[in-house]
Amino acid sequence: MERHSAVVRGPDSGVPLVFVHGFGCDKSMWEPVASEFPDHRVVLVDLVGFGDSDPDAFDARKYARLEGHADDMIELITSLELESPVFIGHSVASMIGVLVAKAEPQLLGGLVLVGPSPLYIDTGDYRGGFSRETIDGLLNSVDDDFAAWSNAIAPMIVANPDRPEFAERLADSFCRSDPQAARLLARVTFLSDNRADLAHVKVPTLIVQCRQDVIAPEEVGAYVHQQIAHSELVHLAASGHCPHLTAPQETASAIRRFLA
Amino acid sequence: MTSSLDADVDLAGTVPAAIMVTDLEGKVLAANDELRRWFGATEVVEPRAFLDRLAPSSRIYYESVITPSLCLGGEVPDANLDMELEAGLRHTLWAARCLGDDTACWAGLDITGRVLQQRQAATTERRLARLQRLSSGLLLARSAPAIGDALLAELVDGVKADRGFMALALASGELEVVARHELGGDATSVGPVVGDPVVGAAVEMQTAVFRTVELDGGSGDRSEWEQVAAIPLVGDGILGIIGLRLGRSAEYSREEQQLLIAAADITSASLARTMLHERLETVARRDASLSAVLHAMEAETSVRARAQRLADLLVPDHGELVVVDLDEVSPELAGLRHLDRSKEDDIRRLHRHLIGRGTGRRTPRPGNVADRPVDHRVPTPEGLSAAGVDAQAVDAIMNLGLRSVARVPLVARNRRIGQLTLASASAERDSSGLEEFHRRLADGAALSLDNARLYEHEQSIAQQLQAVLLPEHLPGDARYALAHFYEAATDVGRVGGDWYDAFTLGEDRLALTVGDVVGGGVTAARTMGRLRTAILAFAQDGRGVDATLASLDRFAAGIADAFAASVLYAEVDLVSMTIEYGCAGHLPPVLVAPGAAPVLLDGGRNVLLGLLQGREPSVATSGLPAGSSVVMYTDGLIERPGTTITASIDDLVRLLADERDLARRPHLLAQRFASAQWSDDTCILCFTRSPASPT
Repeated sequence: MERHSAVVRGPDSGVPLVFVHGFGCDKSMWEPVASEFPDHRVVLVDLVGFGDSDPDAFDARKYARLEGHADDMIELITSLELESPVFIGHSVASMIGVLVAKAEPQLLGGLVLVGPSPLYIDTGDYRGGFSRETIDGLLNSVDDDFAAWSNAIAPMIVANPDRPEFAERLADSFCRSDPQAARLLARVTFLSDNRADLAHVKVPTLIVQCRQDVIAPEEVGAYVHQQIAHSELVHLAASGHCPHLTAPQETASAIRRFLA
Repeated sequence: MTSSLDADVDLAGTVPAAIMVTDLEGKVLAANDELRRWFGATEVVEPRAFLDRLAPSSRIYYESVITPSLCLGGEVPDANLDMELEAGLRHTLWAARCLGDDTACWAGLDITGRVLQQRQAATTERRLARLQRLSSGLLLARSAPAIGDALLAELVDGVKADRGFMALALASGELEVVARHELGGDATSVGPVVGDPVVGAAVEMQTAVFRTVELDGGSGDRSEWEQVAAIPLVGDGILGIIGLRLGRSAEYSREEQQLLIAAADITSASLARTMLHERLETVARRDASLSAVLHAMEAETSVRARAQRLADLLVPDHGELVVVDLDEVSPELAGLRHLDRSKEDDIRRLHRHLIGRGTGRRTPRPGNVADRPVDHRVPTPEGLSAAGVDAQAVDAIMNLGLRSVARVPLVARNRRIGQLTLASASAERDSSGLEEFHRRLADGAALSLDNARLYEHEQSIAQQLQAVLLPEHLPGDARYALAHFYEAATDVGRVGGDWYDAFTLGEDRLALTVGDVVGGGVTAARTMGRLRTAILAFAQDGRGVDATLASLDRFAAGIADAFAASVLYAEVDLVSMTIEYGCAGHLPPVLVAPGAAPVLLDGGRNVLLGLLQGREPSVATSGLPAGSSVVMYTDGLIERPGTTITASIDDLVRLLADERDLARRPHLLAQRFASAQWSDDTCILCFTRSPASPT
């Protein structure tokens, strides 16, 4: 709970929804979508190393594998005594959700994968969207030229007069990352190969695919759909990798349809 | 007051910044002229133009950082994005703010120049930091391998090389690897090998060489290649070389090349300092070694033992194999020592090929002493074959693994006496001063060997002289028998002047004498000879013991070297069987007669020769019963450590009382009575009257 600075709200009645953020931000990322579900028990968490998570909990060895984060989520869901919650993960967190479902098949009621990719690097016939060199270059730039990244990863104070509701709440927590954790997660995210884990998912799964997502292209979404037996693939009109930010209502509608 | 701003200026069109409006997904809704120029678009900019132009890492950055910032925070204050534009890869800086209607307004600047400058500055800073660390690392390194390790640890990491080595130039011109470093720890290969043409080129041109090499099996499209760098370490000539190999189909950037060259410069200076330090230490060590060796040689007195000692002392500090050849001690080697003693016999067999110039006794080359080359050379199979060494011997020589051989002539008293050969299996890195050291070593050793030779020579002359001057055989007939024992001092430094003699004076008279000249060596031997001859001459006239002794005293007084000699002179009347005797400072003989206790014949006492000054010498007479013996001797028999001469004489008398037989058998007597080692000449003369002889 405290380790993940979890926010739990809403009534007991509806299906519990656990929202988990992806690389580069924190739980605030899910606010626009989560606020569309006032009739559900909603849980928003920060992965260790991000947002308001407990800085002392960071362990480079544990989080050198996505399973480290998956174990955290299992612990959290268990401790909150959520009944068959739906795990909603963005990007790398969608793979954390897959690992949770694989490790504890009875724990989740469903999975929502937004922009999932089990492997970013083109390998054999598989098209992940990136060459090995590109990923190497990316990781090098995160390692060597961290200044460019950290000026964005470092906390940004929101000052948007048009959206004062965020300004207040997110003032001290918006997209904050421990640089070391961010670097590690970047490495784990872009070098992990979770293709074999997909087949272990037995719960109903929604794959949310945007158009023109350069990070998780459509053929990757199709691959994930093909690998997970009880899965449904939804194409949004939104483009890019962050529909929950750029098209929160459309994203929320897709999730709502899936829950129904 | 607002006149200038009121002017009809199209800000979006003229400002040298890209301006655009996008939706929150990054689709371009409107763009200014500058942005159109960036994209190479004439009129309309495609909605995805912006996203599509982002470099992959910037795309990921956009999705994971910028989109959340824009959507949640409403603005992006500062974002660096790499873009593929018409002008190529450009570094751009953007700021954006949401307009409230799900659109955002962006302004971007091309900051490529500044970024490159910053990166350059950062690179320079990193390079300086690295060189600084290297410098301080090298300061702590006290040996060439330590310098190599410090250098490679910093370099291989600094230029992301896969592996590298540092090799130093040996005196022979070969390169010897002293340090190697490899990323990942697999140190089986060292990257560019010493024999690599790149390394050769760098050494020859004394300049850094960077070369791209296709890997075996490379398809030719440079997908599999490495860049090899060879940077010479230049000081007073080529000190060595650094070799690096950069795999992963990457190239050294100009900055990295500069870093390598700068690092090599620092290393060269450090290496030169260490080498100077080592050289000074070497000189001091050699000096100490030289005096220790020469001093230790003195413990041996013979030439051969001294030569062998020299060889023993020089292995292994000055070579694995040391051979001392002496021109006058051939064909056997005077001295030979190899670290592995089991190889010494082989080496003896190979000696002719390895060191000698021919077989058998070598004739010392006269003159030409000023021309004394120190011959440092490494035996090569070709060179040996060319010199006429047979194939089997070549193999054997090469099997010894000798890499440097120094042959230094041994010259003493302006004369060549032989040759010193020092062979080593390890090649010298720094041969400066070695030749000089070998010359000094050879000069000192040669003088020491020559001194031993001269000394041996003198001893040998003295011993020969002494042998010549002693009687070849003693007289004897049925009435009496004579027996003698003579042993020169074992300490060759003290060839004494003892003598004995016996000769007949007519048919019935026998002269006996035992004497001892002060001093030793050739001079003592000569003096003894003169005294013996004089006694022979003075006694011939039959003037008797007293007259002979008086003449001898006068004679000795006039010869410096004979002064204070001691002598016993006796004449036996073979008819009356009496002995008349006189002692000039000499020890009294012992009479051993059957049925009586042995007695000292202690009459006829006189001062040492040359001191009578005209006085009559005193003489004494004693009867010689049948079967009796007279034992005459010199002080070599009597002198024993810790005992006075008187006590020792008493001991002798007691021994002869117990074992009367010893009075006739001087060898046995000497063996029983003399101390273990003859520190002085020992001479015994025994006269024995036949038991059956008529009176």
